[in-house]
Amino acid sequence: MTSDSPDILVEDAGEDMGTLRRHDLIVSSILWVVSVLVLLDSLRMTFGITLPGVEENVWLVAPGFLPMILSGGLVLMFSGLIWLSVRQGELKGHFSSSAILRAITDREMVIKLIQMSLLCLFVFVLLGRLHFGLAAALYLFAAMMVARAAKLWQIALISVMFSGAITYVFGSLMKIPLP
Amino acid sequence: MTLSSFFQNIWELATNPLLMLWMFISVTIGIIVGAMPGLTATMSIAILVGLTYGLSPELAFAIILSVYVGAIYGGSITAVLLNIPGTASAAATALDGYPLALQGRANYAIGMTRMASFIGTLFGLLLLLTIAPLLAKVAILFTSVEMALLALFGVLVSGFVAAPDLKIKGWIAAFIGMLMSMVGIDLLHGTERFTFGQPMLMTGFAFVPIMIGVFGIAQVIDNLSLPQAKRIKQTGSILPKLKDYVKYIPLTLRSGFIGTGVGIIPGAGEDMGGWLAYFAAKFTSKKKHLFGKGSTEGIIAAETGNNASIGGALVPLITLSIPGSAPAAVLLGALLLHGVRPGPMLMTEQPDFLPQLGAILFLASCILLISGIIVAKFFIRALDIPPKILMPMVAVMCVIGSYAINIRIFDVFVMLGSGLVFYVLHKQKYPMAPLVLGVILGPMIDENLRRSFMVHGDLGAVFMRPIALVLTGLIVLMLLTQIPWVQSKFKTSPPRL
Repeated sequence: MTSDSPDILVEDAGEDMGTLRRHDLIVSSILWVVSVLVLLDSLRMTFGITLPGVEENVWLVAPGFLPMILSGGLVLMFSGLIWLSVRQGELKGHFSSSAILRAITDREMVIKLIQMSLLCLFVFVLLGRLHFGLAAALYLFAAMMVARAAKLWQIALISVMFSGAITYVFGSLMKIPLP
Repeated sequence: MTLSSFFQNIWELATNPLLMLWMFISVTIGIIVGAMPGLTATMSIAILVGLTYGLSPELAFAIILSVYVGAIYGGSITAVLLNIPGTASAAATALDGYPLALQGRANYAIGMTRMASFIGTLFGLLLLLTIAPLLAKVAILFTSVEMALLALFGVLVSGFVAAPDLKIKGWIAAFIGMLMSMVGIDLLHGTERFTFGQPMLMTGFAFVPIMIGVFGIAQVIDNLSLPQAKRIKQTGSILPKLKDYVKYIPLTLRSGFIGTGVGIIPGAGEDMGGWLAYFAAKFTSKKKHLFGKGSTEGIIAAETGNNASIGGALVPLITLSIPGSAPAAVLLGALLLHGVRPGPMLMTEQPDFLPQLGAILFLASCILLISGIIVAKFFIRALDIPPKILMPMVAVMCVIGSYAINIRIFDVFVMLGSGLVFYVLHKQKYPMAPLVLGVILGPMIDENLRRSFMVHGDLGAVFMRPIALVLTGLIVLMLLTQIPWVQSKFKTSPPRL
């Protein structure tokens, strides 16, 4: 990477391979377990099923055939990734309680977690219970406040104006149903 | 026949003032969206698929393709003015565009990239109109099993090409996408798959909410902490002199060829088209020393390459139902949603579709020439909106877009859920385009594969057809080349001294 490369190309330059592989180990292990569960269910749908009108080679046309191949492939690939992560991840000392605490109290991480929680609150709690415009305005206000996007009155104004505008444009003008 | 139909479609579309107005607005919005760091062409198309669902197919495609063309070009404006490519496809443009802006030639660079984008799009379009009908004639020989294998091959190639880290991650993303598409009632036998007795899961996951979540929500979370960049002052005329451009025509043609060729490869995308055209220009230039310091050849090659990839990416999409890039994958979703089934039969079933698509692309690229000037002159201040304000607004748009398709709150949950889950995978450098491709093509692979087994009765008979055999061989070869043991066997050791 040359020094004059644009900023976007070096966005993750700070994250070294060791960190990436350590995180890979966690993600792959979780997904490996999920893949095994999916594989077991696929096997049931492939070999433990009777299909009307099919006498021979039922497993070939069974609904679990492709999921079985895919989940089996995922188990193999995640196993490979776990093996690679253990080899390249420099795991020693990185799974101590202090390291985990440091990782989850990182400022950027905390802000992202709060933003994700706000999104969940907006979608799972506010939508359907409040009018869409009001729910959107509340979410926008909270998200911009957490991000310290502008002054309080500016954030309030932007939230109300934007939610009002989209509710009118999509809901009334374009007749697109809003949640 | 296609050409005369193409010109007839241009005339019909151009004489429809309402449609032209929508296209003008869409290209302009596309340029602004493409120019804003954090907003991508794929994301905007994904959201638009939901928002344009209620419109007529003609208008919906006109809007979506106009935004596509505008957004791919728009990325170059920020590449020149901020040294931050608005879209990944403009990354190569920033290498020479920003130094040109620092030399006080910002408007010259913007003007040149606009011309290059225009010609690049036209070049890609020309090849699309030429290659697609020929390819469709070959593809019509394909039976169910070959269509399934071809789709699987496309998904795997996409995973192979798009993976920024390990190739295996691209395939994992593709496999997860295909598995997600298996949820719901199996259409061949009516059996439930992975529904856990939940009525909401019976119809499966709609692909649009997944697309919006993957490309929208992940971007929102990622870019909320993006700092606001300072623009370079624009100086000079916004209109480039034609004679300045004419001397670069051979370079433009070569970059167009490279861009279109790269675009055809599933998953390669516009950014790779731009980079390869840039490197080819640098390799063959007589002024190599200027590259990276403000070379006009550099920005022209990069912009022609990435815009020519648009047409290239549409070739396999139209003929084989396999998109060449991430935005094209989302476009495939839009086509399916509006009842257009891309593939070998499209030319027979809807012979007017390709000329119409070409006419929209042609008009959109012409509008780009005018709209680009307007944006660069008057709407450039939109780039000053901080991402911290913009991103929550995009999140709200994602909610509307995912809900509008089926009027189902469950789709909004799917959108957010997939956005949050795949954000983690995105941070682990799993490419998202193969995942979306897997979600879209998964049912086609499953149905075609099992249908051919039903017809032939056993495994051997299905794979004995020559085309199927070749495709199976290619898939196996691609998978084998990534196994370390196989790699070590074929690695040539350096000669001993």
